[in-house]
Amino acid sequence: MRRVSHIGPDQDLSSQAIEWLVLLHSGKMTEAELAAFRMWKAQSAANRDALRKAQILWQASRVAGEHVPALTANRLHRRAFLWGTGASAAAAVAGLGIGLNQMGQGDYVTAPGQSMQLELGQEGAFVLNTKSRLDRLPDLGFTLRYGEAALTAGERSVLLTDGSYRVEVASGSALFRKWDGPLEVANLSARRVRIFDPDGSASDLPPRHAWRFETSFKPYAIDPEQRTAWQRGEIRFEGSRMDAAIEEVARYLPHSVWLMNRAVKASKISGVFATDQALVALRALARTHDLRLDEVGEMLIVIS
Amino acid sequence: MCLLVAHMRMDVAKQHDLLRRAKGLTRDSIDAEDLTQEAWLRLLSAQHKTDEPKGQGFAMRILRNLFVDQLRVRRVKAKVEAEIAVIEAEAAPSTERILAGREMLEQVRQVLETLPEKTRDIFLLHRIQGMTHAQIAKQLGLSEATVFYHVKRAALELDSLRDLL
Repeated sequence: MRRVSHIGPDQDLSSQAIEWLVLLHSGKMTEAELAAFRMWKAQSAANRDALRKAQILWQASRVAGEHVPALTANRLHRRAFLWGTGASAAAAVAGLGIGLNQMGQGDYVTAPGQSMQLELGQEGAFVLNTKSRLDRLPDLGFTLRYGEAALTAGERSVLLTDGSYRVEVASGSALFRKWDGPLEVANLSARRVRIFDPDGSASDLPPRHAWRFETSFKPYAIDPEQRTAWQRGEIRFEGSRMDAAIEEVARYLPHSVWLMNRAVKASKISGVFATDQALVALRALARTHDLRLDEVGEMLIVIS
Repeated sequence: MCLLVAHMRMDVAKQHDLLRRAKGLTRDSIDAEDLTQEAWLRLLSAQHKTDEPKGQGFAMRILRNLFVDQLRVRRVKAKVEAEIAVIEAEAAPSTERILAGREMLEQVRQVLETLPEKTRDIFLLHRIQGMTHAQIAKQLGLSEATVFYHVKRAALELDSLRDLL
């Protein structure tokens, strides 16, 4: 890891600003580095201006990056779509199942607002929510690259792999989510959801409980009805934060959505919206606080 | 690792003392178990390196130091997040104005597309998938310094658009 002493006057101001920004977002900044950054920022208006410009480009990269087809995952994503323009896409649109024999080792990807059902024969079935990708791995079951997948396991248990963890689901329903950050697994009604640690020890997730893979095993209670609302074409909020609600709705749209009004981010929202009317939902959310909604081309919606 | 696990199972009484102390520090049984396990591994590792028997006092010191480290990391993380929020707020009005023009986003997209494949993948994993440097390093089998280098390289390329701001 690079250290503070490397950010100095030998670099031009914009390079210094960029390096500070990267360090701030790295998750590894130390207290001494934070103090040095604050001193650097306070040093001159030129430093602050360099930082402001770097921040604008940094933020723009988040929006524009979602439309860059070069990420390995996205390349696979596109390939799956090209391949899927035939049988699988038609089946998905029509809400029909896809036989396991058609799955092979390929990737299954849903576009914004799309859902897809994958029939697994005796193992049961997956339903993929919007903006999701599920892969089948040789000998390791499935892996959710990103998005959300509901599993109804049949008589034969289904294995899902995430890094060095394994999850085995038997007889019933489980839900997997991987939006921003580590995988979350929820036991909706399965007889068994067993999580195997990298060292081989196993923990059982009780029904109506979930667990996120980043922490020690601490299951927390969930409401299965609320979690599976999307399978009924609904997005449900009950006392949710405004920023979280907007993020959830945005998953059903091809746009990035930015909430620029910081004052309302933590305000609480309740309501039920239709997944196929996500833009209407977004407008309704904006209206609750008299916010303005601007569509910037096909990429971005700014709520301010 | 198997040897360590075997050692850990042998000295249950010492572990129990550590766990009790850890519960007193963390006030959370699961955090306490994690802390105890980490302290125990470090204790065994220290013993392995020196071949000298380490007493319970040494183990307790490891436990306390680990706990203090964890608190420090959490505190710094919260401060860094607050700092990022300030920077975002300071840039927000300009960002809104700039993004109102679609050309900027298109130019940013073009720069990202022309990055070397590895740099582009790492940068997008960080910015779009929200993965930390450590998570990317683990997933791609790289050092965190390498991840840092690629993220910085991408950000420096984007800097070519600075004149448009």
